[in-house]
Amino acid sequence: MSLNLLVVDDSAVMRSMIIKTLRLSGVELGELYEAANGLEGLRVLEANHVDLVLVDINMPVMNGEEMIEKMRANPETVFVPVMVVSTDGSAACQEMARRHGAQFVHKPFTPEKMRDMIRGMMGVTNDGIPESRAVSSDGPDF
Amino acid sequence: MMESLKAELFQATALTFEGLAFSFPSAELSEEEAAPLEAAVEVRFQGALSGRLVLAVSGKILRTLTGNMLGEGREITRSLQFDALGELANVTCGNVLGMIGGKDKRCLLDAPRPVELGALTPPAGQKAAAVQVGLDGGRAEVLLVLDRLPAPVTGVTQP
Repeated sequence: MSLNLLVVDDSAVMRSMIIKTLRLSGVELGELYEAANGLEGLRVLEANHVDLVLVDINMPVMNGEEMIEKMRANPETVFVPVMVVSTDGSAACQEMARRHGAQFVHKPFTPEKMRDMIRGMMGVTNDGIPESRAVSSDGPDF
Repeated sequence: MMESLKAELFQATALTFEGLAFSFPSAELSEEEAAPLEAAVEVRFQGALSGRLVLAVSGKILRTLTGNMLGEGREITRSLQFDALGELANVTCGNVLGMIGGKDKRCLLDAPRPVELGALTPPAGQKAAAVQVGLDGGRAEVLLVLDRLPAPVTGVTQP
C-alpha cells in the first residue's frame, strides 16, 4: 500500500529532509506533496488525495495548529491522519497534537522512528501488510 | 548553573548536528576547524524562558551541512544554505530549551534570521553560555543568552 503524503514546513531544507527520511524509512511512498505553510497545505488537500499530513507548528501565514483545526472542521479532511513534526517538545505542544487526534514527533528524528509512527498510524504491520483500518474509522480525539 | 547550561548547550548542539546534518561534533578543534566564521543566524524566543540563540559556522562547512540535509540531486544555493543554518539553529534552540526548562514549560521561537558575526558576543552582564564544536573541516559556535535564569527542573511532570 503506497501512501500519498503532504509535508508542510516553511523551511525548504526541512521539507527535503523529511522527504529524504521518509524515503529511507522503508515506508512505501506514492505521491509526495509539499507546502510552505498551513494555507498552502489546505489548498493541496483540496486538490489531491492525501493519506497522511506531516506538519510543522511555527510557520508564517497559517501555522500548523490552525491548519489542523481547519482540517478537522472540514468533512473532506476530518479523518486524514496528521503527524505534528516540531522542535517544540513541550507538554503543551504534545497535548495540542493529541487534542486534534494527531501524533507528535520531535525534531530531529530517525527513519526508524518515522517508519514506526507511520505504520502505527496507518495500521500497517512491519511486513507492510495493511491491518484493519480501526485508526481512521475511530477518527480524531476531539 | 552556567556550567550546567554550557553542558546542555553542547549536548543539544551535538544532537542536532548529528540528527539533522549527519555531522558528528567533537569538543577538540583541529587547525582546519579553527577557520574563521562565515555565517550566523539568530533565533529569538519568549514564553517560559526568553532570550536568543546565535549559531555561526566556519569555513566551507555550511555547503557540506546543507548538502547532507538535502540529500543528492539538489542545487545548493546560498538561500538554501541559510535556510539549513536557520533550521539547525531552530532545532538546537528547541532542544536546549527543553533541556533547561523542562517539558512542562513552553517557549515560542521566532523564525531564524541572518545576523552579523558580532551577535556572537554577549552583552556584558547577561546570563549566557557559549560552546564551540569541531565539525568535519570546520566548526560551529553557539551562544545562548537568557533574559533570566530558569528555575531548577525537578523532574516532576504535570498529571
